[in-house]
Amino acid sequence: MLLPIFIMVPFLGGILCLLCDQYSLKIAHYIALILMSIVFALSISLLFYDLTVYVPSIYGSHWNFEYETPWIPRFGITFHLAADGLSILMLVLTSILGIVSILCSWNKIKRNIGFFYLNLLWILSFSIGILLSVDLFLFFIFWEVMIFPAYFLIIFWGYKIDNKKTCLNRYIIANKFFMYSQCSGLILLFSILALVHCHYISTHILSFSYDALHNVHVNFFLETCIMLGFFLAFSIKIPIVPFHGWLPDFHTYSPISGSLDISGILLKTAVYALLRFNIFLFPHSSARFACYFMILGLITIFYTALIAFSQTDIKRLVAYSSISHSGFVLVAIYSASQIAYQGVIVQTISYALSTAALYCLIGQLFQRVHTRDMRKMGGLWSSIKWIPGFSLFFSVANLGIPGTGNFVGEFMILFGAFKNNILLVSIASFSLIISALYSLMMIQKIYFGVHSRSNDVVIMPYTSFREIFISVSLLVMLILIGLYPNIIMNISELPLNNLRSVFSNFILITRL
Amino acid sequence: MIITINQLISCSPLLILLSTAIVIMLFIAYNRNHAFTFLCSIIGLSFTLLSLYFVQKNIPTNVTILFHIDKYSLFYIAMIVLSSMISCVFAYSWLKNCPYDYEEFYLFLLFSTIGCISLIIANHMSVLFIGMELISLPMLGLIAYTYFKKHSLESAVKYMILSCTVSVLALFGIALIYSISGSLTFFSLMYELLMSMSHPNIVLLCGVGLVIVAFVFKLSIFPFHIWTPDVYNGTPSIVLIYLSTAAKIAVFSLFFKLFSFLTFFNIGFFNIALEIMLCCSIVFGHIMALFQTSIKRFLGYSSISQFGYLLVSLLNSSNFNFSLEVVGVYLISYWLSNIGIFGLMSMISNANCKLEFDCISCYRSLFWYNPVLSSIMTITLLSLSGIPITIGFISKFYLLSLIIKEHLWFLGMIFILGSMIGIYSYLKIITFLYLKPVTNSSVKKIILNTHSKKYVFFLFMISLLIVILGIFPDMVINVISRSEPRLFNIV
Repeated sequence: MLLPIFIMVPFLGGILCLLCDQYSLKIAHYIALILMSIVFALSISLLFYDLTVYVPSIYGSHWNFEYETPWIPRFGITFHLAADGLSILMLVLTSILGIVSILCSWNKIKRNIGFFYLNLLWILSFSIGILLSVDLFLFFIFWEVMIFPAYFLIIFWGYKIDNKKTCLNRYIIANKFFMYSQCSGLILLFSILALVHCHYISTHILSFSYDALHNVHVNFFLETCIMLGFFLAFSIKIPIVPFHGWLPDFHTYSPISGSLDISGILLKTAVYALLRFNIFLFPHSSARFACYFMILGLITIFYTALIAFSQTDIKRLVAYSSISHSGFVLVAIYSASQIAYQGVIVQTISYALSTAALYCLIGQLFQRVHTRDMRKMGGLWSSIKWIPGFSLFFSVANLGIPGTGNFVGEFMILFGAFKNNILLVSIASFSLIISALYSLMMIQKIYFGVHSRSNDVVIMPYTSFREIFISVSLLVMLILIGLYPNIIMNISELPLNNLRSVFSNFILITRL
Repeated sequence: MIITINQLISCSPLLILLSTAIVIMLFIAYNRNHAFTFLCSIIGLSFTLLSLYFVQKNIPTNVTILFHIDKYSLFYIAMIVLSSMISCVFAYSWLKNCPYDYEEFYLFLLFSTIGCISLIIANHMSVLFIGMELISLPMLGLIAYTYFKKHSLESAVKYMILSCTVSVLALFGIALIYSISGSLTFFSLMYELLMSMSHPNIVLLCGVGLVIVAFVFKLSIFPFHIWTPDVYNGTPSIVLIYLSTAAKIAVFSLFFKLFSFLTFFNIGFFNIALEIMLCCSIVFGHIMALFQTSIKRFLGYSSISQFGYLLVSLLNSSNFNFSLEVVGVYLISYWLSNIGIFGLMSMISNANCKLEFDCISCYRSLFWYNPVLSSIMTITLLSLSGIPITIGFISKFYLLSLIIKEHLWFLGMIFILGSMIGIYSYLKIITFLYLKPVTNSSVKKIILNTHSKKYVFFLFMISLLIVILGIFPDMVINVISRSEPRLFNIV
């Protein structure tokens, strides 16, 4: 009964925010913050249970927490939520980012506060739903429904400059995001149904359950088609290079807190789904395609890192860098090495934290300078307190300096994958130089160098306690993970090992 | 011929509606009274709905050789009666603005409903033909009811000419069938097909083909779709509530019966022709809908593709039980969202005194001064495009599972392609609702009078129903699977 609470609290809280909005101006902020703190506390409390599971038989459940109730019996669909160490970690991450994004938008949202928090909390609620659901239909519903609040966030509270063209662009970009997500959703639905049908043919049981579906015996061709469908759907959301078109535009026009949600939460659900579903359900065909996917990951890493150089908008630069990091995740997932898998989790979490912090800082900077164009900035180091220092730290963390979680993640991925894919990994490691270059270039252009004319007159306001609090807490978390990554690894080891062991039986055949 | 009391009860929906129509006619001759006519037709329709409860107890039965009633037809009858009731309710305040007699509106509506019901329970070629004509002739009156408006007469004439041509073709087809089988019951047609299974009779097949053309025309499937957008454009929205739901549902239910029978005999040609037609209408309807500026034309084109999707249910190899479920869910979702969107449009154009609000740009930035209306419209449009947590998604889900069950991979591709284009075109309209209002006041603003508050509440309930059924589709599925899908008494 604990698991539905995670979905219900933000969902109902969103409605509560909308209702209370009429009575008091600021109350929605506090409601949202308190509710997300409750979710955070609950998700932390899950970590204190004994997370080792002894599976008595093959048919026994291997989940730590489970909740199941029938939903649409006609299709064998149940409202089935379950969690193991992996989902709990992602849950904690989601609730942390939720709190950060609420704090981030504290003073920035002036109109329709209730409706804003409705959308924000619903994004959180649905993404928690994605992380917890192990019924494929339920998973798909959450996957699709999450688009709406994000769509409304960008339409109503998106990047605002009094310019008709920008305003229209915002709608175009929102529609583009919607279309990409819908394509991904339709392909996913088609593949899920095909899988379920295969299961039905062999066993005559109609079921969408994750546990039941991983035992399906399908002929190789069909399995490959279904697997590619799943992969395509997830890789649009991650995003992998040929399908990344929506992400930078989305970041350009979305509100700060919205893009924080997208980068930290929405994209991470896709990584989670890739780990959870693609490899576990289709180990055979995934193994056959592993080297192609790894090459795709490699292309993603280099292509987006190079594109990041040519950006003048800070937010686009960070967006491209986050795509580049997701390439590493793809390489690691298909390398089937235990160490690399641990690295995926560490990297996912620490990159979510560091990019979230960067987006927050960009938002704070935008409030003071009123531009995101790097060409119009320069020499801001001395005119703002705190923010430049934090920016320096987080961008350096973003490029993976030792002592931060990012380093641990990247190192483990490269180290784990190196054993079997020497050539590929050695090429991939060169991208670290590129990412160091563009991060430093960003810092140099914004904070150092020549004062631009327009900034001389601007007097930077005092940095508030709230802003420092966000940065400091994220910084502490990053360093904590960097120095003692075992807090993550101990939890994720067992579920990751289960996933990997299914996959690695097949991957031994194909190596780069 | 002896008609037992059971048979009389079984066709009581028809009888009640007929007597209501007669009462209204007599009353119009004696003294015109709008309120009475309205009440009378509403009462008649609700009694019809009530009578279904009694009919349910002694079915399936044959009423003479003309009608065959089973549980499945009851389901469709209920939907049709409800939609004509709703259009009556919406029409009441709209007709008050009309400058001339308005009692005939209800008469037309009732006659057309009778046609729909008789078509659903038809078991004989003559009923098929009469039913179709009984739907379309009063419909002409309804389409041309506001003949002083711009496109009204044009669309009525267009509908009349095309529909008459097709009726003649259908009549010719029936004659061809008669020339071979020597009888007009569906049973004899089946018998004849069954006998000539190894080497089918060409004349007979031509006859069946011509009848199918008539059906396809009424459903506005690809090569015969040309009338739809124009007729939608010139018809008042209130008539469209009825036209887009009842007429199409009735025609489809009979088409499904006949065609499922044809696939039962594995007549490959019809299957291939149907596949081509539905692929074309899915893609073509969606692509054309992209370029429309009038929302009525848009919905006309989208209805072409909607029925294209629905025809997928006919491409079934063996077991029609699942197809029947698909059809039921799909039609319910189509019905709800069409009532929602056309009800909304008619209410808005009614409240704004004789202005037809059918241009998409009229709905620009509706959200900013009327969030309730815009959310109703968003939900109905999303349901039409088949997005989760609406009943439209459940119907899409059913269709996709049917496609996968039958291994129609090519059709699956077309389905995904069509849905993507479709979602884009619906999204275009939804975006219009949320655009920021323009500062200069040249745009017509949508104003609601106090009278339309009730309608807003009703429409809100419908959109709520769309969402609730989307989350808990079990209610619909139970109703449909309990309606015992049985196609023919003989098969």
